Amino acid sequence: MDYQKYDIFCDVIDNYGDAGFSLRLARTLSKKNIEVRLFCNDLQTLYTITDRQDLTNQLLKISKWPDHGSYQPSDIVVEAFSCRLPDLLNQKLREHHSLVIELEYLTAEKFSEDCHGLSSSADGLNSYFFFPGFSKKTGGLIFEQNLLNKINSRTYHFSIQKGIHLSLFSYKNHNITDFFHVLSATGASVKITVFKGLALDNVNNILKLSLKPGQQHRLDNLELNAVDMCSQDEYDNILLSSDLNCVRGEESVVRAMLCGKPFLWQIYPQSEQAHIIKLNSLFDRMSEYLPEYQDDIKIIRYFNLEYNGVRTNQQLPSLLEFLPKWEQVCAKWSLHLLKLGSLTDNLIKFIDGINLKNS
Amino acid sequence: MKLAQEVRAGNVIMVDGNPMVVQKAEYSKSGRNAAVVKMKLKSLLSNAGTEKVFRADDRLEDVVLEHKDCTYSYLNDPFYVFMDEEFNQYDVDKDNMGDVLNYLIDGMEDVCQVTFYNGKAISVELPISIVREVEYTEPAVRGDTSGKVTKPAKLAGTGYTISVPDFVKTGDKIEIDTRTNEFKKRV
Repeated sequence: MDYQKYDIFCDVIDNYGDAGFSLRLARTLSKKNIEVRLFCNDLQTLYTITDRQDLTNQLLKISKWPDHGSYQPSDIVVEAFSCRLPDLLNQKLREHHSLVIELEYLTAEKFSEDCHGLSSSADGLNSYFFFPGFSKKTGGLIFEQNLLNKINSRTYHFSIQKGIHLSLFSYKNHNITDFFHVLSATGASVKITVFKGLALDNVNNILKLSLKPGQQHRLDNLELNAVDMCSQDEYDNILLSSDLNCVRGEESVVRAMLCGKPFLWQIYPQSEQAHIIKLNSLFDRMSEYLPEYQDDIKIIRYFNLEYNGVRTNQQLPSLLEFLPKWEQVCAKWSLHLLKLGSLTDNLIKFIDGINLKNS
Repeated sequence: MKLAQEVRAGNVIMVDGNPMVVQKAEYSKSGRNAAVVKMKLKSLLSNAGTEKVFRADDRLEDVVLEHKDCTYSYLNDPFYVFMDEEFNQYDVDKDNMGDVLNYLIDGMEDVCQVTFYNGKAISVELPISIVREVEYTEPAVRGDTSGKVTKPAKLAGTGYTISVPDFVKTGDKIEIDTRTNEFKKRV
């Protein structure tokens, strides 16, 4: 088997998370001298977040999902977010005896540890489930040397004198009104970077504005700055230079956590409130690994639940007073996550392990 | 075909060409309303256990098995031979006998259920309740009649040991629950 060639299939269902995660995985694999073909069914979305280096990277080829007639599978095939391939492509994978990795959604729930690394045999494929996660029993999270360098060299820390810098990347979220009241109540100068797309649409709808990227709006002590979508690298810089990051879905919350900055996570909504279980699980894991900060994590949990529309009926501390502590907890959490090793390295090791077992 | 999310413990599914009995199926919601099902499986052919994960909407081939009432006839090493009412004989591999061997004795009249896959006998189940003789157990401690104090008792024929109340004596016939290997009563 040729373990230096991977195919990654990305099925963009909505927004940027599918493409963002797949691109990051493809990019980091290529940095390990692995030839990667990233097949994405929505190149327009993908190209919104690629940078010049991705497009000139000799080891990374980006294209639309292949036609089964022309497709010659690699030995390793990653199905991002366990996306389902058409039967005819599966047939090709079976004929080629490709090793298929079902790279699953991120969750802090315990079942991810129980299921991580187990084989599957559906569709007659030689497939294994691989779960990102927050413990050694999972595949961890993707991070790169570049991010580590940025984290290690960051000098920016919160201070009341500078006011609050906030990044806002969200879905539609009515709770943002309450959150803006919390920010207003601080009395501090609050600069909010709002990203184009659902986040800006949401703010425009709620505040009856028509802000476009490049425009500003002042609302008492709040200053709204609308910006365009940016590359992943630029987004990291914004996360690191903000005091609080409002993030969404999977990809951006992972980056915010790795950056060690306070975050409010608007989790992707699911039926039967399954997302709230997932949200709580994250803070359960944080409490498990950072028991010395249990009380603070409880407060962070409440802030996050409220941000997701769950009324906690808790008297929360002033954001301004709590932010330094929040930053301290998140920095510790980041250290824990970084110790797990990058998902990319863990995936390569996992595949090597299967290879060894089968040889 | 059955969706993975519809599979329950006790169902038999084909996995890699192997009929596997599902011992446990755990459903978990992953992301964006997708879900996974973790299954604990045991091969009906080799008895080997394994764990697998499926997407909840994976289609799995379910297997309908045939069962027949039979009685034990004799050992034709490594096969145990069972016979149905019409005197047809079926060989069951020793490795597939599992816990049945703890109670299998020559001349036993218990009606067992033999399971078939593709015409081949692959496993045997004992009746839930069977009666066996105690070959040896320590004498009772004087004064205890509550049945709460237990002691080991070796069964005649197989030498298998189970826990019995203190009042049970060597030579007694006792009823046993084969699902739990627990003493039920003295016969």
